[in-house]
Amino acid sequence: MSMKLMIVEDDPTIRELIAEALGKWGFETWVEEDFGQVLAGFIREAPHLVLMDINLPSFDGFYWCSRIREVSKVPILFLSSRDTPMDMVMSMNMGGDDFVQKPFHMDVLVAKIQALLRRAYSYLDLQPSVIEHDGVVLDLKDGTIVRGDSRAELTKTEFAIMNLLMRSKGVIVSRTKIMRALWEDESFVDENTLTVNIGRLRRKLAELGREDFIATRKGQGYIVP
Amino acid sequence: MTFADYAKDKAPFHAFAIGLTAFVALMMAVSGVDSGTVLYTASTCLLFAIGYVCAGYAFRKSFYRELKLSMNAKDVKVDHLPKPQTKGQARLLAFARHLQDEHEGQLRRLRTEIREHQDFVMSWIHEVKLPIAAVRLLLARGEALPEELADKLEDEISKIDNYVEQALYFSRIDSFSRDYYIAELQLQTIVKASVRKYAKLFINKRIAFEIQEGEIRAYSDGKWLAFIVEQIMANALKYTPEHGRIAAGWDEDAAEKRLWIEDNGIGIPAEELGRVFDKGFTGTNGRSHAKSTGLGLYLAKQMALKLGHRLSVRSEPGAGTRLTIHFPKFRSYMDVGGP
Repeated sequence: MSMKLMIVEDDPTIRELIAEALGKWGFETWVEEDFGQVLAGFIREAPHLVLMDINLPSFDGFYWCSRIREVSKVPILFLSSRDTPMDMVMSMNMGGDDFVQKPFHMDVLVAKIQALLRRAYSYLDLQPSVIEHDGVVLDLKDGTIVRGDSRAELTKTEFAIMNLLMRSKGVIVSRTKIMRALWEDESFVDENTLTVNIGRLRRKLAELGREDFIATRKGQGYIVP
Repeated sequence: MTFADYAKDKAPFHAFAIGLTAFVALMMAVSGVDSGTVLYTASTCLLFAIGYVCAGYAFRKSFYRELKLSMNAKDVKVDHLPKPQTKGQARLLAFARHLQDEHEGQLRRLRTEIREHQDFVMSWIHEVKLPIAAVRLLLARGEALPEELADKLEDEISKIDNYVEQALYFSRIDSFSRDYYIAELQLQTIVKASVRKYAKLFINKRIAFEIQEGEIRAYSDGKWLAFIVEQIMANALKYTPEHGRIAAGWDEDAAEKRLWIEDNGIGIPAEELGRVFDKGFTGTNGRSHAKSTGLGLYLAKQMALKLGHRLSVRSEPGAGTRLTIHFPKFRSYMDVGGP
């Protein structure tokens, strides 16, 4: 079952980019364009979650939030460039569930959306908890790789690398990109540590009989073909 | 106003009284009045004059004493001044009141202007954050642009973002009292968040980052402290060459907790060390190595002071720099007079 998200944001570039990015994450999106009729749109579309900007033409996001709260309990996530404690307090008082400040990282936004959906609809139970490619299975819950009957445990860093490579299968992932993903995850590894981790990951894959699972493209990066 | 000052002010009267007495005495002497009477009349006249001056001083003394008191007081208004005793004083007070009204009017206009300006800057900053957010999202899509170009664009947009952030905090310093919330914070989380923010710079310059294991808590405002740490981090990144190293750690003693961030970069010459927190100071490093506005550390210091923290810097040219944020421990009532 795909989750439907409603986007109430008056900047056309931003709302389309958000809709597009969320679409890639498997969400269905509905972009509200009539800012005088947000409530009517909400009732008609019946989304699972609302992304709400604060500064809107005619009525502001706080107003629509409280109107939606009169009829529904769906999670509402505020999205704004305002960042004073007052704005945050207001958004919570009006019935908002969380607050993301612009400019934001798409990953952060998605993580917050997933957290809210999880709480409201036990959503993660519906999400796949393994990634499979070419006979190798990565278990997202306990961080192990499995092939047939054999299994190997991964460290946090190895797991993050494996996750990224398997999600971008068929695409070359540069070392810089891997490092940025790791740093985003607060593993502040340097070049050498990355090399060491890739080496260890390959040894573990070799134990499962797949030493060729991660290929090196010289000067470009790594790929799970 | 002392009696001597008052008597000096009355000099023309003294001259007049002496002159008049001398004239009367002369006329009496010429008319054949005996010298005893002349002397008696003259000295009595002078005595009257002295009495007049003394009585005058006693009367005026209170006015001047109050004037002096209000001059030493803070925030004094013309209405707080003593009642005028003469028309002349009344005129002067009226003049002072006029000056005060005009001055207050100017102040009020100035304050309104500043507030309007501040409101404009604030709303402008929030507006400009929208296109920045849009560009970031566009870049994250990352298919239309060649990777190299996207990479450079991301650098530039990050710079714009950082400058906007500085402007935001600079214009907020004045309204600080309305905009903070002190809580017990995990300092290592704030440091890590700032490293995440600058991850791209770290990785591109191949600078390693190390942070002490464990955790430390201190009381501060999350948003403002994060800004301070970000400024320090940005500064360290600017002056650390490729393949360098930045480390963060903490310690504490009875008086304070300390959070430090150090690099093994080019360091700061000893003669410039005292001025790194000055507004607009860029130093020889700032001029020769990177474009610098000299605003980052100044803002960091101002904010640290508002939060009741202190910043200090230690550096050795060629070996590195260490910036420390000091979080003084407040002495609790129980400790007073203790060992």
